[in-house]
Amino acid sequence: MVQELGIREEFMDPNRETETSYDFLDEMRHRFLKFKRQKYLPEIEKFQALAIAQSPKVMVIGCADSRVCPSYVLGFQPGEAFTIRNVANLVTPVQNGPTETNSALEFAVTTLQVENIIVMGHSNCGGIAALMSHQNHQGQHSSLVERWVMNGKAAKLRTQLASSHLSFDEQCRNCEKESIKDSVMNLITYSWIRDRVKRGEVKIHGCYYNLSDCSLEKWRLSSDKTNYGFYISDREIWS
Amino acid sequence: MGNESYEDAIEALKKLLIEKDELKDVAAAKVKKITAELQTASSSDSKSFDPVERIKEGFVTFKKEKYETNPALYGELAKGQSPKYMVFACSDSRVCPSHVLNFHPGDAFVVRNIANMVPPFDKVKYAGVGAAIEYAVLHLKVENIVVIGHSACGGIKGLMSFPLDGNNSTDFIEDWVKICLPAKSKVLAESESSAFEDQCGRCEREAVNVSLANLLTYPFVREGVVKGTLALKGGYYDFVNGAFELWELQFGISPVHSI
Repeated sequence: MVQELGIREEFMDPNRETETSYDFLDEMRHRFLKFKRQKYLPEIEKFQALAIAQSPKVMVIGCADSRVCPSYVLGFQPGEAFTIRNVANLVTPVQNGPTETNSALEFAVTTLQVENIIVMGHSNCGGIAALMSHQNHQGQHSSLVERWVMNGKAAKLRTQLASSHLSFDEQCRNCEKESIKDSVMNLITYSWIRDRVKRGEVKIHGCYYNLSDCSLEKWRLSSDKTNYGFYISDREIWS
Repeated sequence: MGNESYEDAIEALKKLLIEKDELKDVAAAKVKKITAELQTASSSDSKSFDPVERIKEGFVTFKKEKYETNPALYGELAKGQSPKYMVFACSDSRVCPSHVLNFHPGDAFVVRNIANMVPPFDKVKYAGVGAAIEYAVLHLKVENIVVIGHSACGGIKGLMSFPLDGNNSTDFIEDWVKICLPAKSKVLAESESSAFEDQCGRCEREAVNVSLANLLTYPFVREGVVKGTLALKGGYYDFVNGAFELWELQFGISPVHSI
């Protein structure tokens, strides 16, 4: 029998709850109150203004990995960055149909009218490792993870062609970077993004966070007005 | 065009409100919204906002104040992650779990999408969500999945406003938010005459419950919940009042009675 409680925590019968539920409650309470004390109350006016309207200038697509929260690593404060996080920070092209990522892209670009889109990838990505180690055996059922990361197969193919002599780990590093490029190019398949990039209303950036040496490589996608193409520019590494 | 048009605009508004007193509440709400938008926009003036400078400053600060002051933690994290929590949070710029619940690197595997929704299990549609849950439950072996809704959610407002009758005005947004249509139906049935904002507030919380129920349609989630290795929790961050609510989805087999 499944019971759905939907009861607020102050009504929970303490005799019924297990020790672990209470630990969880305590931990979340402690975490939230720390935020409230250290951030929310000291900047209450800003939070009250934000409660009425958000107008972030940036949208970030990052990985769900617990080590690479874009707000934490790139220092975004509440209100600054509309954030999408999925496995391996993948953006699929428009022709692949609806994903949770492209519905969020549409909202951010057409409703919130963000001016910058950042695709942030990272080293030691489990999703990319799964992509690189996946063998496409016929007749075998892929797991959900494998099905999803296969959206990055073009990046995998390019990586294998260029660096099959390297170790598996080194190939994964390369694939992580190639995949960011593909996700960035897939952004352009959406007409409401492409048009805005061409008009200079939206800028697209890629960045790669290496969590082994804490470095950030970043670059910009620039629009070539002569041939309507796109190219990578302004590459920098911060370490 | 400067002060002239601003004064003219204010005069016109004042004149209108003298004639139509009943519009005062609406006018007050709209002026409040404009003030808030100008306030948040002015803190990052579009002329001087350089996203590259912004992230460089953010990253350098992170490296100096966090990474370099805790080499043991970051050394371990470079080898792998073992978060206890998987969190579904909204993509809204105001509700990052790293801020609101003070998560540090390594604490929580976080998926962020419009209105923090979890669609029912499907191998093809919205497979990205399934991939994330599968990775968290089977590979990372998280102990809790927490779905956190929030106040003034644009996605839920969309769910409540769109007719969702098949004539979509967006490419993807309507298709996505209708995942939580059962929440909308429930709220409308229970509070038909309430103000729209109140209905949205209820729907924000009900949608979390729909997502929690959808989590159980994933076989590996159901297995974990039955075995007691995985718990499903709901949360609600109310940034209007600076409050947080927490609850859980309980699963249990009642005592057996011989009848």
